Amino acid sequence: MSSKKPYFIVPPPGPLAWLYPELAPLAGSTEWALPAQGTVQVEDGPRGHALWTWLRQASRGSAVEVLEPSLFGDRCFESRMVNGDDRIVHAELTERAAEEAVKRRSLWVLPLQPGSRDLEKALSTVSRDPGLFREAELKPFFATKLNGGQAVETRLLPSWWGIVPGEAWPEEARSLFHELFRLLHPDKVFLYQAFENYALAGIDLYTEGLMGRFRKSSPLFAKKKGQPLVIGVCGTDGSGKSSHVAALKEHLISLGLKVCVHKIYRHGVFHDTVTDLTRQCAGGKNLHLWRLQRVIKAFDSVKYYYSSLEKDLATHDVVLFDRYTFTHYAAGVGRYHHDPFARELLSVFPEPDRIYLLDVPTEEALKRIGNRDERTVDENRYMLSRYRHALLDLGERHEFMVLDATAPFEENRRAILDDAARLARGGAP
Amino acid sequence: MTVWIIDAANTGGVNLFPEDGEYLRALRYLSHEVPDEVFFHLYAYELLERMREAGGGELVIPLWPSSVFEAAGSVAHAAREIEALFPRAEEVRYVPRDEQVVADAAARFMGAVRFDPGRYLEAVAARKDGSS
Repeated sequence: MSSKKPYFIVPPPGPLAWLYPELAPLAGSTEWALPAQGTVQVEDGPRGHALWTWLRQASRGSAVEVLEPSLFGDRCFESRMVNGDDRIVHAELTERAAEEAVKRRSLWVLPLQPGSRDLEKALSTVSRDPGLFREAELKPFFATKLNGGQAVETRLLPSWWGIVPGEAWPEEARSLFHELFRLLHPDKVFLYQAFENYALAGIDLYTEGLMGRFRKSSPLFAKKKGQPLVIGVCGTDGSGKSSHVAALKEHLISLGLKVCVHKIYRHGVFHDTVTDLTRQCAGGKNLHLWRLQRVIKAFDSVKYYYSSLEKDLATHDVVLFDRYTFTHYAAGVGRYHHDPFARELLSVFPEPDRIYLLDVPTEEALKRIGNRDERTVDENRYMLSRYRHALLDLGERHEFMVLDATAPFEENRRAILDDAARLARGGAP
Repeated sequence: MTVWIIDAANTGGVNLFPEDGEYLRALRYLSHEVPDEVFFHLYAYELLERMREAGGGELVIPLWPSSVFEAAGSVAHAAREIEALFPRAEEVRYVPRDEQVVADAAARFMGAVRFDPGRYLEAVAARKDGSS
């Protein structure tokens, strides 16, 4: 360890600033950079812990040592929010205190603790005169530890602590808080709901922000290296992908080409296992598993690439895909509008020469699926509609050939075969 | 009969992570921009899938997932639901190893040493003693 004084880093306030931008100055400087060598100390607290986690990874292999902060050190932002300092008021929740806060323009924080009746009391008081408490800028804050007491058990990622109730809060308390929030911040209700959904889904927007993921994006595909023609057929369930893939394969083989078909969404032990994992979300519990199953599914496609696809890419003229990586992206967008690390995982796949999108209206897709034995959790009106729109949006941005899947099969077959044959002859997509 | 052999040296039973298997090959591709926590989850899930596929026997678990999370200071999710799906074992054997063996296992099965090997050994010892 270096004998020099450690560099000290104050983490940016993250979600608190996104929801309550006026809190940002309390967290001090948001500028930080790793030195080339030496020791780095990060401010204590949940967001400090999140920053440490990332800095530790970013500095791996370098001459920098990043000291582990405490989650609940006295110096942390959360302690100041709960225990107060000269800029934070913790008056009892009354109209008089609100009037005082308005006069002083001070920051007024309402710490809330699980197991208490804090929320009921707050809602009862605030609902008497919401405008007054709104003007006083009352900030509800979910304390993870109060005045040196026992830390609250929560399964939220640390970066969300304080801003949303963790699992220690029962559903009724969440509903009460939604109502309190609506009274205090009617203009931020949807923003809050979005954050709460991300938080419960285990999506760490804060760390992704620290990583710079919102400034740069990973490449979507690997660069092609003299690879074969890569063609994918995408579409929601019930759009007729498999039938068209089979027809296309037969046609391309008849042209003398060496063709293979791949499905990057696997069945068998993988599908059964990831489905069992996802079932643990039933009843709105363990929602972070939805995000986890997205990562697992994307990585399974990467595994499939190495076990089954890599060799075929080097030995075939045409590789056909019954669904391509865009289906992963559509699933992520359909669920969250945000699919962390899907791009990083899936960028091993080559850029396709053509994607045919078989677009089918949701009602029609449901009718077709209705004939099958068993529906998946996604084969319902809401999710199919979201996937459909996500695929259409991707199609617009990536120049898919979009086909109306309600048109006669022969009509679409002809369009696909003609286009693919032209591509196989070396025509531009 | 199913036996879990918790051994960072990955010896003494069914190898669930063959060197030429798709998991280790895919792992080498993964970007370092992906957070450590994702690597931990992917490892835990792979372990689950391979354990199910093996069906039974003496299964070697190089690194115990929740102890890995604990050693990394990451406690929010910690693979609890994944471990809950592990096929039940009639017997669990712990093979004592030193920090270097744990570090080697981390590099091999997670692409890098992404947690503190000393803390991992403490977490596994606590698990063995029934205190975690």
